Amino acid sequence: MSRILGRVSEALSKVAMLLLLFTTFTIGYSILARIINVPSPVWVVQFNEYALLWITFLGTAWLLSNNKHVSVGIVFERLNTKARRVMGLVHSLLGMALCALLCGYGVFTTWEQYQRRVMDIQVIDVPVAYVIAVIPLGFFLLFLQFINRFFSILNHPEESESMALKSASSEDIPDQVAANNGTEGGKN
Amino acid sequence: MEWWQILIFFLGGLVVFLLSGFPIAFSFFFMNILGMLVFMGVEGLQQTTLHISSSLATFTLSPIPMFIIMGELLFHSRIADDTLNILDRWMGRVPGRLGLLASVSGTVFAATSGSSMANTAMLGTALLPEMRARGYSKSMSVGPIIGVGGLAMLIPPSSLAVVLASIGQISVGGLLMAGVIPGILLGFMIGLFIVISAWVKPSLAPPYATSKTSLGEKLFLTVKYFLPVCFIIFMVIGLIIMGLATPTEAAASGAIATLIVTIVYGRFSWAMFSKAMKGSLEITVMILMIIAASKTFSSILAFTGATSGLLNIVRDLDVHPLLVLLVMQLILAFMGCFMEAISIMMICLPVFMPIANMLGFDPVWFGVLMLINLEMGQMTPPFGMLLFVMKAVAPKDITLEDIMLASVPYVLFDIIVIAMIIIWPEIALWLPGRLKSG
Repeated sequence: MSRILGRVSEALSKVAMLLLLFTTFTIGYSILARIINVPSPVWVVQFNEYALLWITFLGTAWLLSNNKHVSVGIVFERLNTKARRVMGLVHSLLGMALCALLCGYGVFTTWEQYQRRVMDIQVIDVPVAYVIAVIPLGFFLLFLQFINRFFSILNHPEESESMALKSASSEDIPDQVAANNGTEGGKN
Repeated sequence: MEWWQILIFFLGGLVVFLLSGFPIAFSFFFMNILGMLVFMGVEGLQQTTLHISSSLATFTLSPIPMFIIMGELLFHSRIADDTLNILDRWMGRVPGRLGLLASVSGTVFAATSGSSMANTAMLGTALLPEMRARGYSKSMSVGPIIGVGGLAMLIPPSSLAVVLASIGQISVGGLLMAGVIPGILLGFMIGLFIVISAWVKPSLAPPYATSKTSLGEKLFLTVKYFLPVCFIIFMVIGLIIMGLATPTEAAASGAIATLIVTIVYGRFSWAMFSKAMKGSLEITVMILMIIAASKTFSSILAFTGATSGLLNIVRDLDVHPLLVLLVMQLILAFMGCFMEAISIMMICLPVFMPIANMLGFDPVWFGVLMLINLEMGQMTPPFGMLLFVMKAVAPKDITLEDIMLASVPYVLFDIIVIAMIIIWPEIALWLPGRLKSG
């Protein structure tokens, strides 16, 4: 399951990257169109708004698999390995419960919006269900990632250090410095 | 439940989750769920998906990914190295030459990148070895870099300014422009401090002979390497000031301009581009997930009456609004010692912004004060982020204590600029005012 989940998350992250480029270039094009007095596409603002939502929920599971959801490390980093492992397991369980709940309600809301044919009335009328469908999908993938994380910590105690959720502290820095030095990775 | 019990429940619960190391976004989501179940019932939960959608699908957030793409492209393409090189040639034999170079280039880079960590790491890697080799003291080597590193958060393109504006319901363009003059002022104060310190005590930064470059060559290299950076800065700040583009459009044009510069200067490769896009996606998703969760958090605080209860208390206090402002700034500064900027912003904004509005503070002015304070928090011990960035790039003989001591004068400059903006709000508000009238 871990490998398939990794591939799906990776593939969706690529779609999110394309959406990032889509937002940049469509807005860039609309400025250019205005300068050269050509009618700019009317859907740019509306679809860029949707893109922000889709980028977030297409990329969020991938971000979790890369340990890049930022957290506060003041206390966590001072825990010993065993306590970190326990905390990692607790966090994974909490994450599972939270994402399962949000996914469930997300599916419910999306289905309800779909059945009632609720439309987002803007320049182009778009069914709200199509816009928000990415939210339960994102939470479902997060739920699977938390399960994956839970079993990884449980089955490989030696990996618990790296599997525990990343904190916003000095651990972030080698990546930045490595990038600055033009090197790969940065975990040293 | 009384309003203060509700407030303690929410803020206390949030702090417990955050301190346990649970990711910030999920900590907010968890408190939202608990809050909804306790105060709104299942109906509240049913609204969560629509709340998340309306929090994120907002055009005012659009500059965030594009500012990040811009910074990542500049960072990975190493275009900044050429800029540093040409600025170095213009420095001549001023006292504290390399420190001054750090302050000037740091301010310029802050206008092209929104990442204070990247700014600090880049300057630290490029300048620290030479500073140490030239006999610069530890404080004169490390201090200027930390001092200007944080400016990226203040001078546009700043993603955190967009986040603050969006959550605090402040004009994005206004807040971005309001950071320009205080940012330049800070850069100027840092530069002046370096020159005066090195002039008064030359042992801090011993003067050294520099290789001569003819004026013609300097001008040629400036046109070749510095103008593209000016072009990028113009495509963001210039377009907004001239009223030719909204912040979102300026962000898009800045990102495209940066991409064009990397291609024209032969720095584009698919590997570099892929790395930059990956980095951009990571930061974008991380920030937007936190926004999705924290906006709902603000709504719940308002729904439960916690916000209005707090406002009533502040209204009933018979104290000068400035005192309330100072208390809020002290809270921010204290939290800055222990947490990073985005957590502080998300915890404090839902509480502070209604108070600021009630007391009649200009939201842009208040936002700038908050941004400078958050920037200061990045270099205050024991957990200032930039202190650790500097430690990671510094030679082994420079300890964390050396870095903390070196940062003290620059923390003071932040406090001075905060005080100046409180006394003379025009420092922050003049440029946004021009924007409105233009």
